[in-house]
Amino acid sequence: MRVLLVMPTPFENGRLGLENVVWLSEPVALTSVGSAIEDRHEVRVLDLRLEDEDALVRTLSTWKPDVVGTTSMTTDAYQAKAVLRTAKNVCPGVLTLVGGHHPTLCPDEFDFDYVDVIVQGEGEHTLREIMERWSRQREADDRTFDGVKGTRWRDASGVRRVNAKREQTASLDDLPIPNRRLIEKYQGRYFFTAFRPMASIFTSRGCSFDCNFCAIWEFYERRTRFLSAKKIVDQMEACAEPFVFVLDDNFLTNKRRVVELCDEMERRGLKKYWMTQGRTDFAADNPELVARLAKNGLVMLLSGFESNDDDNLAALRKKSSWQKNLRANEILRENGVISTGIFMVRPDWTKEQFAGLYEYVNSLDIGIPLFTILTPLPGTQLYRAYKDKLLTNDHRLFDLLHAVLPTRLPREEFYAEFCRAYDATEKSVRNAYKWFFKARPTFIPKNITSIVWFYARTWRYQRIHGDHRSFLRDEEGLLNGPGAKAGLTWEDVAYPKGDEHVAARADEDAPARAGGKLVKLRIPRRIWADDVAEASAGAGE
Amino acid sequence: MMGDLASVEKREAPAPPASDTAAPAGASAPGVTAAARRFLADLRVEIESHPGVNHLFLGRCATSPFARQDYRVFGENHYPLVCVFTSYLERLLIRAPTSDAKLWLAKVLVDEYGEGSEGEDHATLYGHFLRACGSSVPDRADTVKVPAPAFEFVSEHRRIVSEEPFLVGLGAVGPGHEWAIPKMFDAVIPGLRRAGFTPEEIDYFTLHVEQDVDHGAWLEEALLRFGGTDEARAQIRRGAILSLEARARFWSGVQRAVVRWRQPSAVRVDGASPRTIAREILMTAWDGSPRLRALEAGYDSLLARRRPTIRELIEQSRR
Repeated sequence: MRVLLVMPTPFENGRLGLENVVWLSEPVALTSVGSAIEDRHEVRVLDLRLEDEDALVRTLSTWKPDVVGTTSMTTDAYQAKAVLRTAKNVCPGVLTLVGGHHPTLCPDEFDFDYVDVIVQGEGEHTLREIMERWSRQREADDRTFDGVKGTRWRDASGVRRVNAKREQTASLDDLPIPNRRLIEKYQGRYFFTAFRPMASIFTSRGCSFDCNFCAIWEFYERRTRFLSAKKIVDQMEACAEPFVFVLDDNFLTNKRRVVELCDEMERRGLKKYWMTQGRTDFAADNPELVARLAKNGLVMLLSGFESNDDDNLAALRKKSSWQKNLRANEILRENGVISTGIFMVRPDWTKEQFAGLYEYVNSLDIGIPLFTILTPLPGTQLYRAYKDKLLTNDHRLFDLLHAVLPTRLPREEFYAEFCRAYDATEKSVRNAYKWFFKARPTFIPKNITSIVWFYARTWRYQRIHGDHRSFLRDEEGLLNGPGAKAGLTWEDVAYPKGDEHVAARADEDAPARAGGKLVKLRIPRRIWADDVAEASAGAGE
Repeated sequence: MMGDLASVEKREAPAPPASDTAAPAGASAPGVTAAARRFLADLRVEIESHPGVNHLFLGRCATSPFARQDYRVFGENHYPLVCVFTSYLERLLIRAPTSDAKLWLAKVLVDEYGEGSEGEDHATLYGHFLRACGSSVPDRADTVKVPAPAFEFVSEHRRIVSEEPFLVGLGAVGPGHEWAIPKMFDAVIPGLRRAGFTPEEIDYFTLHVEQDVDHGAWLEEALLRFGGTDEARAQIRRGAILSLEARARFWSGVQRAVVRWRQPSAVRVDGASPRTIAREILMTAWDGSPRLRALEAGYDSLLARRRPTIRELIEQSRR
């Protein structure tokens, strides 16, 4: 059978957003599930972020797939639905599937007649089973998928049936390696800032922390699984690109595996530059490991610094501190690793708090500071706490660049403060590059064209991003819409009071209480959407 | 529908059309209608799966919570198409080679002039929608220039109905519109409802889904009579596809406009062809130079000035 896997665009092309400006990573979710079925089926991946508007319909009408699948994060939920709706229109007999983060955590949002099956959780084994069933049932147009774990499907009367949850694969080594040939036609077009051309791989899944603004740990049920060092280096070696982005949710989480990976890289003499995401506290606590990783090609680490304020970090359940951020950054700088720091401003911030954050960033010399707005993403604890206080339910505005909660400053002033971030932290970037040049003198000359390419691109984008009116226009007509309460002000929202650091300390001092009761309550039997009410009630938030 | 087709099959084939059509010497021969029916079935599938009918922008209307403001931009771009649609039919009516063809065109025209909508023609109905979106364009038709995507679409259709053979024109305004519109508006209507428009405000769209199903049935009857030869069928198909290609370009233009009103200086998106570093640098230099930007703006406004106002477009269409 012919299977078309479609990566949707996050927004309509040209809207405000950092994807395709600051980064564009490979659709690894699609190449992973595609690899799981390509031994028996013909698989194509269509990355709509790198295609013309009509590419989907032309592919559907000429290639005539039997199955169309797509994936969705929160912001591209509408686009994913548009893909499947279009697929049903053009090829009425097609089987449509959606999987990924948002459908797993909020499956009800995909309950439409043009969505045949919603895949929840890891998709590799589930898709394989769906394909086996559909191969047998297609002739009779029998779309029942009872018993296929990890799916929701519509029966003939249109009722959505829910199957049992699929257990996570015990070892990532058992999963097929994503076949990058499926995206051969796009190779050379993926990038992270000036690191291009770039390949993307994953080496672990999950995160064992429970930050309340993130749903990764809920998606993976707080488990982290790792690929073996050998498989990681195999994948890196197979990439033709000079840069590899390791897309792990938290690469720096297990000391032993990092040591094993360094051993393997050294043994095989890997010559690749690579980038990844990891926590600052790990880097701060393991300077010798960071040095070793840098020697083995790590050139950029993307970390959630989040805040310059320990109370704020505690309110986010980040379990780190501004001192750790500072120390981690020093270690990265000394080892020639560009630090990409993500900072989160809060909607209840005053001008002084914005200024304080920018001053802090400048004191760090962060190479690539990225600024976001605290957003209760569906599926997170924060969402469950704040869902009644949202100004909008338009998922396009849940892109971390729009305040979906009421702001303390008038919105115009809030966005004016937010969008001066890049100008205000220029000093940090300049200094970081000086440090980087000192540590890796040949890197910048060797990659000068890519650096020029990136700055040309972002300079044009900054004309939009640096203008607060862009943000206001973006949300015009979309606030206080259906499902949102009208007339909310920042005072209606129980923002953190500023004593969270002390409270968190008290919790740490009482390990039995925190470790026993809270963890048990926060990890319900089944966390996904149908248990949200239960989970929410259990967590007491 | 099947009843209509069956009754058509029993009728005699039409008289040969005028010289600018390729139709059907010997159309009455047995088997011709069956071939025509097959052709129509295939054509319907081709139209209903065409990018012009299934443009991703339409899918987005169905699934994304666009605001009234977005639909204002959508409507202002779409309005000129609505204002001049009858002129295509009128031109074809004059050129129609047989009374059957004239009859079908006349039936559709009667509807377009306001039958079934309390005497309000479709442009007037669309005006109600635009006002509900907060647009005053219908009241300023004397001064508002036709947006570029609409102008391109209208120009292409004028060319088709005036310069191409009659059957190509029939293919464009017939299946190219009547079979396409219900499916396109099926995507738009849920979006309009979600944006809070009342049923009365979106009458234009709902009426078209119902009315164009009727038009489609009448059309099928007419096409069965005309699609008697391979050449005639090829002309009908060509007309439909030319119209839909123009439609796909039109929707891409509308989508750009919907994005651009929120982000006037939106980043220039890549699309399928990767940009070279040289081009990226050139674009940045261009955007960075106030003089070059002014030159570009001047060129755009020159192009806009060359386009007619909506009133002029309507008047041109009547000539």
